[in-house]
Amino acid sequence: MTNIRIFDKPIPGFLLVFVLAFILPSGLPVYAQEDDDDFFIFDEEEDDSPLIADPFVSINRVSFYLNDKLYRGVLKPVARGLRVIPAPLRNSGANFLSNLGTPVSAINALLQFDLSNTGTELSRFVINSTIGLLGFFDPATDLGIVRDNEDLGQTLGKYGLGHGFYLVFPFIGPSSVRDLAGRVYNADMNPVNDNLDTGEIIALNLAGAEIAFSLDQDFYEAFYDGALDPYIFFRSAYVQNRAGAVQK
Amino acid sequence: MTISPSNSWLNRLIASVLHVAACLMLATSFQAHAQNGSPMETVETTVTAILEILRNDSIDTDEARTLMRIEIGKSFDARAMSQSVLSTNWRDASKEQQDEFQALFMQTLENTYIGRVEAYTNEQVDFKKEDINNNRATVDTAILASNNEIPVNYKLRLRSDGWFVYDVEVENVSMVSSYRETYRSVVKRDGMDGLLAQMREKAAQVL
Repeated sequence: MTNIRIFDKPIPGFLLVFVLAFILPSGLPVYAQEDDDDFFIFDEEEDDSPLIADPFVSINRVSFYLNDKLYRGVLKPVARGLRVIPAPLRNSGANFLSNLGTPVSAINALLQFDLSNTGTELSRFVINSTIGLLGFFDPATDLGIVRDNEDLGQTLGKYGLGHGFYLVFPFIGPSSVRDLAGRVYNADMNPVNDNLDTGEIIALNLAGAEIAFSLDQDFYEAFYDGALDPYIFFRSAYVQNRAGAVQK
Repeated sequence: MTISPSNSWLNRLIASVLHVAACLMLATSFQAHAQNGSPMETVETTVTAILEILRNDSIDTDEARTLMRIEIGKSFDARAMSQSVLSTNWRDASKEQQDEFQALFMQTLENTYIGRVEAYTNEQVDFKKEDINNNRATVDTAILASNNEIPVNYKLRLRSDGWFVYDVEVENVSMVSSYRETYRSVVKRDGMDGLLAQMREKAAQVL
């Protein structure tokens, strides 16, 4: 008998080669399936739960709605008004405020045992405060020492603390239990705040926000108006952004 | 039917050789195609082309959008993006629903992103690195804006005709993931037809 028989039929040689041809060249690149029907199966996210717990969703939605009105009605018009100031000047303002926060970022990098970033942030503070004329300019970036901001929320995240749940505050915006705690103590860590009263701190934060809004290219409006449910869209974006900041 | 053993062996041998040859030819032709562009080259070509369109003052906004749409069509995998964003709901949708969703989703992305991209005409883009893992790859880039660096990472997949982008992450926020959660909640509440109706309405609003 020349053929091996199973079910009384010879196994055709070409079938064997056919099978082998698909098994052997495993060194060749593997292509995604052409008909694509199973593409998403390989995708990471398949689970049905939202990215973050949101037990106060109704209250959060109210805050989200109020913040949208506040942003479009007051903050954004003010920011648009600021656009009469040339962009380089507004950038200098943003640089100055960002430089004030750099020591706190350095402390957080240290708390995360990230010595290289601690060095980066400290060098940035020294260079920009001196050559950068009190931080109004950012020569450190030109020297290739690029900002990598760390806050206490990220530090807590690095230590393995989860988000807790999602919170949206009027005026302050989206946060989580972890990031809220981080925010409060992060502000405490800033020596600049010791010399200022509450009103001044709020004014400084508001100025920073307005400058940032004036430099923004209307991303918020575009995403809000394009989303079927802006609340869920921004919640998802917030969590992804923070998770990414913790991871890197 | 009686075939002599030797004859049938010969036939099989010839068939086998032909088959192996065909497989090899197929594989090498795929490979040659894919090597036309690495993931990095794919992204760089598209981004450079789009920046050139944006910086060209002699073409008006409508024409620029048409040209950009063509560039994006060359390197983005609309089907894969649509599948990924609908996740399990893709499988339950009918062919017609899938097709309509794809068209509406692309429309949504275009309405949301193209206007924003237009604001970034004068920024430099730094193409940092590519990471290839089998038939998936990520390309890390950054927009060098005036006072900060905006990380923009592209996710690509390898098809027989080359590398294609199926997701873009800006500041760690994935385009596909952000829409996925919203669409999932709408489908859960109003079904696939409800989702399509709302997307249709939205697309009409923006235009």
